[in-house]
Amino acid sequence: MGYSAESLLSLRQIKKSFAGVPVLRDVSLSVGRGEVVALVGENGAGKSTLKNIMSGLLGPDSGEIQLGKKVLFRLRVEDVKSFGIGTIHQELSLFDTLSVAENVSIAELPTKRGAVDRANIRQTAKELLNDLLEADIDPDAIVEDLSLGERQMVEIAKAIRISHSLLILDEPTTCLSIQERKHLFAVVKKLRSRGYGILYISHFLDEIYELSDRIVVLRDGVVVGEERADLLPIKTLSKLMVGRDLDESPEQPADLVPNSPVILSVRELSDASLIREVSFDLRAGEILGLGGLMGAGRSEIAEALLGLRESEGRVTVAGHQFMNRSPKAAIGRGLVLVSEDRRRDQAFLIRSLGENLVASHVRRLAQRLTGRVSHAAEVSNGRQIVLEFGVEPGRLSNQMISLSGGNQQKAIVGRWLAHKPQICVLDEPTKGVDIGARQAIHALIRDRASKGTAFILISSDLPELMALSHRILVLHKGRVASTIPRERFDAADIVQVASTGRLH
Amino acid sequence: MISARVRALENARQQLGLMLIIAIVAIGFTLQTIRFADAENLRNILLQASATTIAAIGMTFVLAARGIDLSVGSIANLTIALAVALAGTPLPAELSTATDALVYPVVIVFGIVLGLVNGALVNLSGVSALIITLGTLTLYRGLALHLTKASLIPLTGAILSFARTEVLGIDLPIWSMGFATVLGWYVLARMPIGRLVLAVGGSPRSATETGIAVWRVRAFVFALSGFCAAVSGLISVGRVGVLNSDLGFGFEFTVITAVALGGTSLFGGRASVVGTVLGAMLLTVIQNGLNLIGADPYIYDVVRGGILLGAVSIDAFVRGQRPMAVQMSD
Repeated sequence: MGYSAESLLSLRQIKKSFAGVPVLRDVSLSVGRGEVVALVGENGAGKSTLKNIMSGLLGPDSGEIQLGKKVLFRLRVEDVKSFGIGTIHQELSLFDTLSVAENVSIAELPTKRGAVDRANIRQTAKELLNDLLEADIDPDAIVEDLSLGERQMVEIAKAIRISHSLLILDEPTTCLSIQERKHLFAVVKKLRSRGYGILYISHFLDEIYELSDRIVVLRDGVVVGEERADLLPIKTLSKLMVGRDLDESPEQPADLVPNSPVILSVRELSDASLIREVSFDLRAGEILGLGGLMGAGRSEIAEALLGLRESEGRVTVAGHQFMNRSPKAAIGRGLVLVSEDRRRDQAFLIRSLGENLVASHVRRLAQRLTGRVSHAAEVSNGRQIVLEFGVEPGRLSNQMISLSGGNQQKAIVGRWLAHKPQICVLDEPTKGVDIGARQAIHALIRDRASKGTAFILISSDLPELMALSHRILVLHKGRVASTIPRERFDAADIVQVASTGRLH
Repeated sequence: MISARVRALENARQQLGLMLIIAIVAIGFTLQTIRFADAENLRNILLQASATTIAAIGMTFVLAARGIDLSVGSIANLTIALAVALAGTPLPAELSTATDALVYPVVIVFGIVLGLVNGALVNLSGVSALIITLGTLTLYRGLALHLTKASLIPLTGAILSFARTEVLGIDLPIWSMGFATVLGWYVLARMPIGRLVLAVGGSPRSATETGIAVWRVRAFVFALSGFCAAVSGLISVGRVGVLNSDLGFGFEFTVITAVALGGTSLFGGRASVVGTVLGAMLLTVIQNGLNLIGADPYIYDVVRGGILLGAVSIDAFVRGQRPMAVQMSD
C-alpha cells in the first residue's frame, strides 16, 4: 500500500510474548497523515498490547518501528513525547486529586518564575474542553468531583494536548452520552483534516464505519484483514473478527429435558447505571449464555443476582421471590457465582489446595458442638473434589499459588460445584487457562447440566459461548438486544448484535 | 458537580479546624498555669516544634507520592554520627568531641545520600516503601551505633551553633522552620514538581501512562525527606549538646502523626504542608503544656494517640457525609 511517503508511524513484523505466550505474532500496521485507521478485534486479539507498544509503554520482542523518518527498535516515552503521540486510554489515566486544568497539562506544565503558570493551563483547558470539545467543564474543578462522562472528556483533552501528529483512541466512548460522542466524532474529523493520523480502537462497529478510512482486523495476534472501510461490508468484517471455523463445534450440550421447570426467573432487573430492564427465565439443566461486549452489563447482572450490586426488579428462585439478596443468602438457595477475577476474589493463594477446596463450606464440615473442623473430613472432602474435577497435582498440602492457572480454576469451579448448587453463574470460566483445562471445565459443565444444574455462562470467548449454551442472550448497553436459540447460532450475527444492538 | 470554590473552602475548613483545636488546647493550658502563655514559653514551643516540623514537611512529600519513610529518626542519628566521625576531633582530656564548620556540608550531603538510597531501593526492588524503610530504619541505626559504640558523646564546637544562634532576636531553628514551611508549601502547591508528586501518589499507573518519570519523582521525595531529617538531627543535637544513641528513636511516629493530623492522605495524592505544620504544632503544644502542668509523663502518649485517632475519625466521618457520586472514583 502506497502510504509510506506520508506515514507517521509504521510497525513492521512486530512480535510480543508474555511469559512465553505469544500475544502479537508478526503484526504490521501503519498510520498515515490525515487518515483514521480503525483497529478492531475480539477481546484477547492483542489490541491493547499493540496500543501499548505504539504509545511507548511496552517494547516489542522483535520487529521494527518507523517513526517519521527514524527507524527504531522500540518507542521510548521521550520519542512519543517529542513526536507528539497522544493516547486516550480505556482505563482513564487521570489524577483524581488534581484539577481539570492540571490534568490536561500534566505532561508538560508551563512555568512562570518557577511556579506552574496557572492562568496558562486554565486557558489551555478552556480552549480544549470548552471550545474544541464543547464540554461544559470548569477547568478548576477537581477530577474526582466529575462524572464518568466528564472525566472521559478530560482524558480526551489531555491526550489532544500532548498530541501534534498522532492520536490513539482506545474505546473512548464507553462512558459518553450521545451528545458528547457527537462532539468527539466532530473533533476526530477536524483533527484528521488538520493532518493528524488517528488510530481508533473500538468494539462498536457503527462508530468504526462512521469514522474510519481504513479498517485493520486483528485476530489472535495476527492482522487477518485490512481494507478501506467503504469496501468492507459489516458481515465480512464480523466474519474476519471471529474467524472461519467457529460456527460448528464438535460437542453439543445434552438436550434439554422438555418442560423442565423454570428455576430462576428474572423480571425487569435494572440498576443505576449498567443494567436496564433485563428479564429472562432459566430452566433446570439449561446452560444460558450471556454474550455482549465488555461493559455491556454481563458481570453486573451476575453481581445483581447475588446481591453484590444494588438493583431493582424481581428475582424468583425455584418459585420463591428472592429479596434482600446477599452472597450468603444466595448460597442458601443454591445459587453460586464463580467470578471473573478469581485470583483476586476467590482463591486464597498462599493457603493449601485442601483449605481452598473446602473454604466455602467449611462450616458444614465443622463439628456441631465444638466448632472444630475435623481434619479427616477436610481431607476426604478435598480428595473427592480433586478426583472428580481432575485437579493436578492433587496433593492437598500444596500451596494454591504453585498450581497452574488451569488447575486453580478447576479447584475453584470444583469448590462451588461441590455444593451441588441448583444454579451456577460462571463468569469467564476459562479465561487464561490452557486448552486441556478448558476442555475439562467444559466437560464438567455439560455433565452437571445434564444432571439438572442450571448455568448462566458469561464469556467473551464466542466459540466457548456457542459450544456450551442452549440459548444466548446478547446484551447491548445493559439491555437484552436479542435472544438466540441454539439452532440459529451464528458467530457473525452475535458479534453484530453485540456491537450495534441490532442485526443489519 | 462540586464547584472548585466549595473544594477550596473544604480544605480551608480542615486547617481552620486544626487551628481551633490548637487554640482551645492552648487556652486550656493557660487556664491551668499562666506560665504557658509567657513569651519565653512560646519561644520554647516554637523551638521544640522546629525539628519535628522540618522532618514532617519532608515526610509530607513522601506520603503525597504514596510512599512512607520510617527511617527519618535513623537518618538524623546516622548523619550526625558520620559528621562527628569525619569532622570531629576527639578531645584527649575527656570523652568529648570538638567539631568544625565542615560538619554542616557532611550532615546535609549524607542526609540526601541516605534518602537517595531509600529511593533507589524502592525504585529498583519494587517492594513497598514501608518494608524498605523499615529495613533502612534498622540498618542506619545499626551503622550509627557501630560508629559511636553506642556511647554518649558530649559535643563542642560548630555543630552546636546552628541550634543556638539567634538572628534578629529569633533562633535559627525557628527561622528554618518558617523558611521550610514557605518553601515546602510553594514547592508542593505551586511548582511543577509538586504537581508531579501528587500525580504519582494519586495514580502511579496514570503517571506511567502519561510519560511521567515516576522513578525520578520517588527519588526526589526520599532525598528531600533525608535532607529534612538531617536538618532536624542538627537541631536536636544542638539543643541537647550530646550525641546519644537514643537520638531520633521513635521520631518517625511523631513525624507521621503530625502529617496525618494535618490532613495528608496516607494513600497518596492528597497533601498539605500548612496542615502538617499545624499538626506538628498541636503535638508540641500538648507535650509542652502537659510538661508545664506537671502531668505524669506516661500520659503523654495516651493523649497523643487519642488526639490522632480522634482527628482522623472525625475527618473520615465528615468525608463520609459527602454525596455518594463523589465517592465513586475508582
